[in-house]
Amino acid sequence: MNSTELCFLSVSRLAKLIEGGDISPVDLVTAYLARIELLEPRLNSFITVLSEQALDEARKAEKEIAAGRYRGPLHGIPMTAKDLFLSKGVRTTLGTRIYDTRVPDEDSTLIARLKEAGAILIGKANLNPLAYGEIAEEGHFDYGHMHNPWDPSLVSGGSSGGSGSATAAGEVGFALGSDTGGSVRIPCALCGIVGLKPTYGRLSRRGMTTLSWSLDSPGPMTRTVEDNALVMNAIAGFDPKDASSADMPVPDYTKALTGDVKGLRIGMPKEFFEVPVDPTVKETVLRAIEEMRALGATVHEVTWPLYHYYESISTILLLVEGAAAYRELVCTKGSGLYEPLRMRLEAGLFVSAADYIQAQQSRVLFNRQCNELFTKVDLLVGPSTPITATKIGSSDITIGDTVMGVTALHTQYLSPFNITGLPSLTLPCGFSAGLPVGLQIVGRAFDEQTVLRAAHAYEKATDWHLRRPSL
Amino acid sequence: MVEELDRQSFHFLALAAGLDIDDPHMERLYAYLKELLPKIRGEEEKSRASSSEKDLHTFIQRYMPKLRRISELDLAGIDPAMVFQPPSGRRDE
Repeated sequence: MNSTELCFLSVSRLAKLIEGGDISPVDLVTAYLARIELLEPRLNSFITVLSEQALDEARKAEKEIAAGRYRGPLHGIPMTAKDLFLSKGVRTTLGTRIYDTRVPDEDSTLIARLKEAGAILIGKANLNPLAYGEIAEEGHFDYGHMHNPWDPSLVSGGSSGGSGSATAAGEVGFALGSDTGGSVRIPCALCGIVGLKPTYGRLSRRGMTTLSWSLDSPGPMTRTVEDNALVMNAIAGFDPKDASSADMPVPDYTKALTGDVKGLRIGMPKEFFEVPVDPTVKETVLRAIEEMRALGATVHEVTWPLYHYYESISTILLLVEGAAAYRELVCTKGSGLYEPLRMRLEAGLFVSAADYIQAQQSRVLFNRQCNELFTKVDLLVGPSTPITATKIGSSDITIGDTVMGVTALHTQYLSPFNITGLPSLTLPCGFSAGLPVGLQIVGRAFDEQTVLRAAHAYEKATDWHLRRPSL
Repeated sequence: MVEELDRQSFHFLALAAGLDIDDPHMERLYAYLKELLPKIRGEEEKSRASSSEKDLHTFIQRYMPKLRRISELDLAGIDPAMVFQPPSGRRDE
């Protein structure tokens, strides 16, 4: 096996090789660093690469494993985290030069848990500044655009774009991202990998810099569904230091991967096809749903009329919470921000408290109607994004007679589940003109197992996850 | 949020929010808000930006093309989704 093949192996396969002594963490870190050297800055996945630190950690892991202290499937696996997760002793920029030299003195809970599981932080991944803003707009990125491994002239998606491109290009074993309106799932869909936004409260947000307290969620970004379950096993669980963390039992997610969807009731909201969607994406996703039916699931059309209000609710919540989160920054250092981002943050200061509360009331109705769907079905499915990756710098896309902004399109199927807080996963389900198409699977609150189970069964029956960008 | 944000109200609110009202950028922010605030209330589409600031209208359209009026919904009796935990009782009770 050559070095490139090694870098593209799944975490589950790498873990077996490490545990069996067939490769060492030092070999693995060396291979990934070589791949990063080869592909950067072409993809621009990273803001900071931690070559020496990662090699030191790999040597420690090697010694531990040799001494019989193997910690589990993430031991010795190189990973990256979006550069808004606080990392002890490593600068955390939030994608803005304003924080270029800021070095936290402690790890976020999730980075700490991953380190405890033996994972090796090989770098901090690029993102849209403050994880907020237009995905494709020129001049927006303090650390440069993030490029899609399937075609570097295209976006990798935002805002966890560096995490997405690094994972899809085999620069890391897996990544952590954050998702306020689709920011884990968009880059995963556009780069052809698996991304999970778990139930709100399932993963600790402590040390993951806040954009919106009520919409933000961290999430694992991986090349396979099984890898996603393995990362979830390491990071899920109650964190007493995070007020939004749910004190709920955490299952072994890998046990849900039965390869079987027989008897599962899958709902397809008809409203998903009343909004603009590229015909090839639609066809690809419908084919994937048919495949799930062929595997033994039953497919039902369901209706969620309030779906069409997602954008109003999400916009007001995000404007106001984003403004509150970054009020001090915009008041004292606003001139250091890209102007449209600065204005969006400032604008939230002018939305009335009454309008914010009404958006939160509307959210209750919205969520109630969505939850009612789950009395009839076990999962909701549909496209992850209505389009594939677009050219860097292109802001508008025409679908049929409709001209829409790229960001508005990318979030239209994903942002609703930041409002509901329900678990939502994207996985590759085909290609359109050589670019990955994502299938979204949504489950009941705290039922990530069923989401992963269905995704795994689909993945097992197809080979989309095995295709690699030819970089 | 106000129906039509006049300049005086804008300055008052900006000052109260802690923004520097002497910053030249404030003119752009004012134009942006005149576009944005009616939009997020789902009000009828019309550009309020001057011809030199049409980019703001385009930008907002691109970002939020189809907002619906939340005021259309019947919110009577609906508690908002807000994080608040009831205070715990005294330990000696």
